[in-house]
Amino acid sequence: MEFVCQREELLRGISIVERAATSKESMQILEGIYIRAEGDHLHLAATDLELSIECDVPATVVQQGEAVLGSKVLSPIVRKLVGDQLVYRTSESGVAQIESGPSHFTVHTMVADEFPALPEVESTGLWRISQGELRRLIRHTAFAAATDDSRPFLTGVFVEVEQDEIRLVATDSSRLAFRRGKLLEETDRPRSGIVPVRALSELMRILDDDDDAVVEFEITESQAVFRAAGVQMISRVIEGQFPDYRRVLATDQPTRFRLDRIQLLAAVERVALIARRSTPVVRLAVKGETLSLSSREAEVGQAYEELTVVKEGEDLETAYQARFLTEVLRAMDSDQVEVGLGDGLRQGSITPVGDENYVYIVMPVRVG
Amino acid sequence: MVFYVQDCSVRPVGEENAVSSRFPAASQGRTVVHVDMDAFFASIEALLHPEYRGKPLIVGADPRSNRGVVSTCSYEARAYGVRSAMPIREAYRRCPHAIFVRPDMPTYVAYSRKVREVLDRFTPIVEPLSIDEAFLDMTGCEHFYPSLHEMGKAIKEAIREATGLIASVGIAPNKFLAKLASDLGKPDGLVVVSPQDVQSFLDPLPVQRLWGVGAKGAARLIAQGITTIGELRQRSLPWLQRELGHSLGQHLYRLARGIDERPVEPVSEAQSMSREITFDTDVQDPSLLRSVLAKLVADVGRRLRKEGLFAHTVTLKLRYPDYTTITRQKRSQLPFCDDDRIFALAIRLLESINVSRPVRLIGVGVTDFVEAKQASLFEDDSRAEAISRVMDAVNAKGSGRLLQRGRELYRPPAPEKLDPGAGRGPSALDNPVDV
Repeated sequence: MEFVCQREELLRGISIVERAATSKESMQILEGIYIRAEGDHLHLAATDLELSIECDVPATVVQQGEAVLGSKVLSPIVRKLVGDQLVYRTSESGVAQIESGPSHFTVHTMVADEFPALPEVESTGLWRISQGELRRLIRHTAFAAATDDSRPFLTGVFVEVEQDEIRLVATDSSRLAFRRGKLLEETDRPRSGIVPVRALSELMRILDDDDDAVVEFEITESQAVFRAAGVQMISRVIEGQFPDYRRVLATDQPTRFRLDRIQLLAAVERVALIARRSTPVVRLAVKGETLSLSSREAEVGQAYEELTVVKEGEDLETAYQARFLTEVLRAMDSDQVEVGLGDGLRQGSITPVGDENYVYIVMPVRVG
Repeated sequence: MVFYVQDCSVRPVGEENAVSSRFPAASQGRTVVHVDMDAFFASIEALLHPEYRGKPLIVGADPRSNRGVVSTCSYEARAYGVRSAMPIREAYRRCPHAIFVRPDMPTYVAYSRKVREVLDRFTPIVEPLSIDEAFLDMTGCEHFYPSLHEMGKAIKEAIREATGLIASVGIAPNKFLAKLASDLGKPDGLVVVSPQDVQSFLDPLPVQRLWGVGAKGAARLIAQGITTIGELRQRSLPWLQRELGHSLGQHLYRLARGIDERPVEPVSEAQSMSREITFDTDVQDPSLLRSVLAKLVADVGRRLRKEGLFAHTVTLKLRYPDYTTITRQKRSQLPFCDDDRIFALAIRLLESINVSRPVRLIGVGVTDFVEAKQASLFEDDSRAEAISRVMDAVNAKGSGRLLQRGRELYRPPAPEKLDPGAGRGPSALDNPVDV
């Protein structure tokens, strides 16, 4: 194999695919980046068998062929080289020579035949959505998924497609984020599946800033496929039954109030400072038009703060984990939020004012 | 903590005193607050029963009984000479038209907690003395208030707003003076003793006001012509030690000068709760160990719930006849406070230990406490907890435990295995040892 390409182009491709390469020592070939030179481009790929990312990079191919190079070797070399152009050549013995500017590297390669076959797309036709819409759907929900893997089906985002609507739901069983969005065209194939959070966060890195650019995607029985900006990402979907989220999606709390999102976020962050040794809990109490936030930590101290709110309903007191409030308030975009406090052990809700497509549900902590 | 940066090398020697009077050193610059609820039980009763208000109200034993005393009485009852700890018959004699109420401790405890929550808002250094009294160390918080008087007003007002009850507050450089100050202002008092006023505050007070001077001590001092703290202060230390004994003399010598260095000590919460019993005769029967364990769990669980805590970890302790002791722990990701959960973890620990020889002692404990438990959207695990709490409520009413779990009952092994000594062991169950 021999090719010449723009170093920046190759670097861009490597940065996209390398995140799918494994960092585990168990299978060396999965640490590698697969490169195939053919026609007028290079095809790059990496996979850890759960997630695979592929993309094409323009190149002048002198001799077609394929090779696998360790991503931890290749990536820093290409990043640090100074020349505009990069010349790559594999010798008979399987040693790669990389030249750019004044530098010359000789690097051992792995046997390309050992690289696993990438999953074929089992598609029957892809759905289309705008990048801006997909970005917002992911940003508003993925943070709420579970991070511990005791219940694997909660470590992903539940994606539901029906007619021209797409719904993303994530929960760790203590709180839940729901967002509804629009597809560019209607589909006659309603589908759902649980997509790992890791795949979605890699997708966020791949998507560019153009809100109107189109992403093609599909969820099948076993895989989720995303295509955007010349990149294809295929992830396995997580098996298991996602909980019935509709049952808990209530926003009819007995106490509801509106206030400035950033103001509330800052107040929760401040009050939570006192309790940082364990899981910070913030008590919320609404009395009249005053929302008080407080927190205490044995042997550390206490914090107390008051905010003025526009309230409907009764006076109420409850307590939530601070993280469950700050994460959603950071993810939201609206200036104002509406907060609903549940009585007893019932769920509370946070919704952006003027955006009925987003609902966040949070369960209180019980103070013994 | 407040730091005052002083550059000693450039400061002229003569200015030292001037500086230290403006910036008192930490040891003399404490701000201790004593909060004492006015007629606490009686005030709560009056709050809950508006018809009691403004009338002599006596909380205590049944006035028709020959035994029992006054627990608290309203200020209206005090006008008739009724006092706390007075025999209830005597109180009835002095004020027969008073309203007599039996104490409702759970309600008083709930109010005490509310007051405590308010106090915790002012400082983390809160030392509760009893159900209706506490010390606060507010050193370093002075600048949050225009004056110490305003600080006291803020505390009183916060308590009144949260509970509807009135507290008397004393603020002084130490515990002794703060308690004295709150006492002197009662009811609805607020007395601030600033460092420069200590002596003028103390001197006119009768010697009985000194902490440690009982009726006897006072009589001895009065016989020597000492009736006020000021008069006591005129006497030398050797004289006081000769008259009153070495340590009491020293103690009163210091108190009369307003010196009391006892720190305000916040009570730290328990790190673990456990129960264990030692058998009269060593036990190997697994079903007996199981039922004993269930009883111990019921005790530990009840205390855990009473404290309003949740635990993450269960510890099992076994001691063999040769005194070798083993402990095993199991941690649960989700905190718990119900008996079922504690028992499930404890029995798993017991089963994991191959009990191949007799056991002299068995104990179970919970640790790794949290005060709050995250509720779940999809799984409702509150049922087991609700059952435990209902059992607590029922068992709290009678004497002894009315409700028990089946697993606490011991069924002796089948008759053919039964030896004449069977039935031993459980005799010790009635009195498990608190640890």
